[in-house]
Amino acid sequence: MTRLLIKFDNETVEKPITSEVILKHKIPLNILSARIDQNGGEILADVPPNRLEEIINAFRTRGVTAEEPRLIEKDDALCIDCGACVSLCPVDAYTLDEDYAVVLESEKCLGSTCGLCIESCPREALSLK
Amino acid sequence: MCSSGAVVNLGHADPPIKIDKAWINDVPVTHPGAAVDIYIGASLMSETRPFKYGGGHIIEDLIAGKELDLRATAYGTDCYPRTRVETSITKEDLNQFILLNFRNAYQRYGCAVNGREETIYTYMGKLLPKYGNAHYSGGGELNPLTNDPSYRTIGIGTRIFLGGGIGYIIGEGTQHSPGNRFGNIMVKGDAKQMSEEFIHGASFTGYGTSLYVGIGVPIPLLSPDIAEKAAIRDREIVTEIIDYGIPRRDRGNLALTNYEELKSGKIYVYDRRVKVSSLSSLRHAEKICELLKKWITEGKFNLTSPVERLPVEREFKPMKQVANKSKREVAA
Repeated sequence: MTRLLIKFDNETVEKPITSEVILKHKIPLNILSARIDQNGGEILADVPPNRLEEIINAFRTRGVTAEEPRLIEKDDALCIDCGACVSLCPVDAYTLDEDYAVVLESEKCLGSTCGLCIESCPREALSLK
Repeated sequence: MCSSGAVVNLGHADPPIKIDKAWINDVPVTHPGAAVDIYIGASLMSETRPFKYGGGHIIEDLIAGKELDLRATAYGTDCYPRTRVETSITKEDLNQFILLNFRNAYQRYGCAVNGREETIYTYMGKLLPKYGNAHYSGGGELNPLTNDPSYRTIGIGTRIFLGGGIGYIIGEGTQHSPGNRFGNIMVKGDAKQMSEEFIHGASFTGYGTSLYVGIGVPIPLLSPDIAEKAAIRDREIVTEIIDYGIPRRDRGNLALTNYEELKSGKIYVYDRRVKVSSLSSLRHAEKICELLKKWITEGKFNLTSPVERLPVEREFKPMKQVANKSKREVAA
C-alpha cells in the first residue's frame, strides 16, 4: 500500500467527497488518521499503489489535493536519544534500538495529521518535512 | 536537571562596572556576587525566545565554542563608574566558567502520568490525558547513588565524570532525601574542558528550559558488600507512578513500578496498559559508563576517597506557609 495525504480546503471539507471517490471508483481506501481545523482538513490514507494515479485524479477533479504525506523528520544532530517522543506516538513509529538510540520509522508515521511528538522534544529535533 | 547552572567571571571592563543586571543572548542571567561574577541558571529563559532558549542553551553554546552577546547595566559607583556595557563572549574570554549544579543525579524518580481530561505540560514532559502516556527519568541500575545506596564511597571530594570533563561532588544536593531513596548530589567542574556531547540545553514546551548533564561516578568495589550493592538490577529498583494532573504538592501514588518495567516501555495504571518512555538518555548513560571505565583503565582518571560521605539521614521539609499572613500584617 502507498500512503497518500488528501487535503481539503474549508469549502471542500464540508462535502462527502471521500465517500464519492470510494463508491464511484470502488477503491479500498484505508483511512489511517484525519484532522480538521478552521482551514480545512487532512486525511492520511493507505491506497493500492497500482491505482494511485486514478485516485489522485479522482480527488483533484473534485477540487481536493492528494499528495505525498508530510511526515515527521528527526534531526539526528540535535537528538540526544532521551526518548520523550517514544511514549507519545500512537502508532509506535519511535523505538529504541539495542544501544538505546531513538529510531524513527517513517513508514509508520501519521505526519501532519498527528504531530503529537513535535512539541514534546526538549531538543526541538522534530519537525514536519 | 533545572537546578544546574554555571558561575562565570567575565573579567573587568575599563572603566570598570559593578553589574546590576546582565543578559547573555537576551537571557537575564543573575548577578549573585562581586562586580563581574554572574550565575547562568539553566532554567532562566530568553526574554525574546522564552521556552525555546535559556540558560541551559547558553552553557551548551559556550562549551561548543560559540560567541554569545553580553550586555549589562549598572547604577555606577565611585569605584565602578561604568553604567553600561555591550560585548561578545566565548569561553576563552572568561576567567572562570564553572559548571555548578545544586541538584543532580537523583537516585531514582517517580514515573509521571496525567489523569486529567486535557494534555498537560510539565518538567516530566508532555503528558497525554487520561493516562495516555507516561514518562520516567533516571538510569535505574546505571544510576550512581542507587549502586551505592548508603553512600559508602560517595561524598564531598569524589572525583567524577562531569559533562565530558572532570568534576567533583561537593556535597549533598538540595532536597537530598536519602530516607526514601531520593538522594542526589551537588557537583562542580571546569566547564571549559567539557564537551557539548554531554551537556545539552533543553526546552520543555509549556514548562521552561533546563540542562541535560552527563554524570558518571566511579564506585570502587572495596568490599564484597559494596560489590553486592553495586550489582543491583532494574527490577529491584521500585518507584512510584504519580498523577501530575493533581496540582498539589502531595499527589499520592497511583501504583508502584520498577525500572525493568519502565525500560520495557509498558506500565499498568488501573489495569490499563500505558506506554512509558524515558526522559533521560540511556544511550548517553551507557556511553559515559564505558568512557569513564576507559579513562580509569588508561590511568587518565584517578579515584578519590570522599572527605566526608553524603548524609544518609536528612529531613525533607515542605515550605512553611503562614495562614492569612497579609491580613495579620495589616492588623499590626
